[in-house]
Amino acid sequence: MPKVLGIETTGAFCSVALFNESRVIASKINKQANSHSSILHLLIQELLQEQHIKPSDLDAIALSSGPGSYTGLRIGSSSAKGLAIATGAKLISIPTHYGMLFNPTLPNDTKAFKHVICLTDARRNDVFATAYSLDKDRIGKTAVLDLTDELVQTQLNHSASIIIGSGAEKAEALLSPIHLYLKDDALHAANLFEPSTAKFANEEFEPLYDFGPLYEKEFYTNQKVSK
Amino acid sequence: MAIETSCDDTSIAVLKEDKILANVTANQEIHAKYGGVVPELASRNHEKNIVRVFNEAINQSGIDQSELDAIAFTQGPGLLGSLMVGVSFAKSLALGLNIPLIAVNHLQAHIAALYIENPNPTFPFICLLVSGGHTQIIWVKDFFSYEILGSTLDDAGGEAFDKIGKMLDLPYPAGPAIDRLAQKGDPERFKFTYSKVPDFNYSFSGFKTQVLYFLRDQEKLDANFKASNINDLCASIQHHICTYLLKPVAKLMKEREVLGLAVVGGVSANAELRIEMQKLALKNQIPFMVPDFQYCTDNAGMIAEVAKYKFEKEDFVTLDVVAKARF
Repeated sequence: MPKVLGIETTGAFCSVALFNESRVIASKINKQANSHSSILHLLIQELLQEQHIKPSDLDAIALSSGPGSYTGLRIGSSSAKGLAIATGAKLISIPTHYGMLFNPTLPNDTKAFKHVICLTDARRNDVFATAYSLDKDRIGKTAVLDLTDELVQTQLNHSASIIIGSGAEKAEALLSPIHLYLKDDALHAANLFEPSTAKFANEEFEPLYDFGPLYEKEFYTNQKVSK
Repeated sequence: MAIETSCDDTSIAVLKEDKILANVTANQEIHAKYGGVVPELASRNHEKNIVRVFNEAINQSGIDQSELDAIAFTQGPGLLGSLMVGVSFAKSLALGLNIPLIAVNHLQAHIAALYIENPNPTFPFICLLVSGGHTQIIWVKDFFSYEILGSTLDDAGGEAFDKIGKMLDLPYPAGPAIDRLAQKGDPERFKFTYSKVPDFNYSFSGFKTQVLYFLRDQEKLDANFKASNINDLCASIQHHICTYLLKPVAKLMKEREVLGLAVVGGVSANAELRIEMQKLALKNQIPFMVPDFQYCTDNAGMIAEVAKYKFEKEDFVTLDVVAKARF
C-alpha cells in the first residue's frame, strides 16, 4: 500500500499526517503558533518513527500549497521538495482551500447553501477567497478580496454560503448573517488524505524543479523600480 | 553538501575530503531593477531555484546523492526569509537521507574561504570582512575562535559602493562597475572628509550624504557633471572607501602582534582594496591572504569549508534548529 506524508504549514499551526490509500494512519499538530521552522521536521520525524516507517518508505509527499502565510508556504514547499528529492517520493500539490473542503467541521448536509467559500486572512482588510460548489468544483479563481469593499460585499451576500477558514471571523463582522460562518482555520494535514489519494491514483505529480507554492498575490515592496 | 541562501544568491556546493567538487550559484538579477535586494522577492526566488541548483551541484560533483555524509546550511546572519528556505531544504535532505545536519555561521564561512587555498595560515591574523551586508575587523585566533573587534555602525562597505553607485546612475550592484571605471580615473581629484568613529568601527552614512550633496551642488553648475566626470568620481570614491577601510586595520596592527592580514567578503574582489591591503602586509612583513575570486562573494563552497571542520568534530545540530538573522 502506498504511503503518503501530508504537510500543512500555510496557517498559524503546522501539522503532518500519514496516509495509505484507505485511511489516515496517524497525524500530529503543533498548537504553538508560528513555530513551523523549528517544529515541522520534528513532527515528521516523530510521526514516522512512531509508525516504524523510514523516510525512504514514503511514496509521495502531499503539500497544502497555498494561499497562506508566505513564510509558511516556503517552509512547507522547501521542506517537501527536499524530502521528495532525498527519498525519491513524488510531490502532490493540494491547493489549501480545496483541502479545507475536507475539514471535519464542515457539515455533511449542506443543501441549504449554494456555495462553500474558503477565506484565508491576508492582513489588513484582505482575504484570500476561493468559492466552491457543493460538489467541490471551484468557481472562478482564487482572489484577494477587500471585505470592506461594498461591491465585494454585495457579491458575497448574493446567496447563502458556508464561509470557512481563518478569514471567517473578519467576514462575519462585515457580511450578511444569512451565511453560516465556521470560525475554524480548517487547516490540518489530515484533510489532504482524500484529495491526495485521488491525485496519487491518477499519478498527478508535480515536477520538483518547476513547482512553486500558490502565493496568489504579487509580492509587495515600497522599493521603487530604478530607471 | 553545503547550502547557502542568506541573501540573494542560491548556492549549493559539494565537498569531498579537501576538494570542492561543485560550487553552483544562481544569482537573482531581478533585484537590479529595484537598486537593492527586495527580501520577499529574494525568498521567493530561493524557493524557486533551489532544486535546479541542487541538481546542477550533484551533476557537477559526479557523486550520487546517496554518497553524501552530511548536509550543511547557512544558519545566519542574513535575511530571515531567505535563510528559512535553505534551512528547511537542508533539514529535509538530512532527514530523508538519514545523515547529520551542520549549522554554519555565514561570517565564519567568509573567513574560512581563505583556508580553501591556504590550509595552513599563520595565527593570529587580522581579517577585514567587507561585503554588501557586513563590514567587520575580525581577530582570528585559530580555525575555530575569533573575536570581532570592529563593525560598521550603519551601512556596510559594499552597501556604500552600491548606494553611491545608484547616485551615479550605475546599475546594481555597482561595486564591480566602480572598480572598472576607477581604473581610468584620478583617485585624488575629489576629496571627502573621513567619518570619525571610536575604536575600530566604521560609519559610511556621513560619507554617503557628503557625496549626495556634492553631486547635487555640482549638477547645479553642470547638468552633465556625473557623466563627464564618471571615471574620476569612481576613482575618488573608491579611493576614499578603501583608504577609510584600512585606517583602523593599520591602527590595530600597531597595537597587537599580528602574524597575517586577510581581506574577505564580496568587496575583497575590489582591485584597489586588495592592493592596499597587500601593501600594508608587505610593509609589516607578514603574509597577506585573500580568497580565490569565486569564494569572495556569497557561495556555498565556503560554507562547505566550515562544515568540513565541524564534521571532523562531530559538531552536529538537531532538526529543531532555526535560522537566525543576527548572531
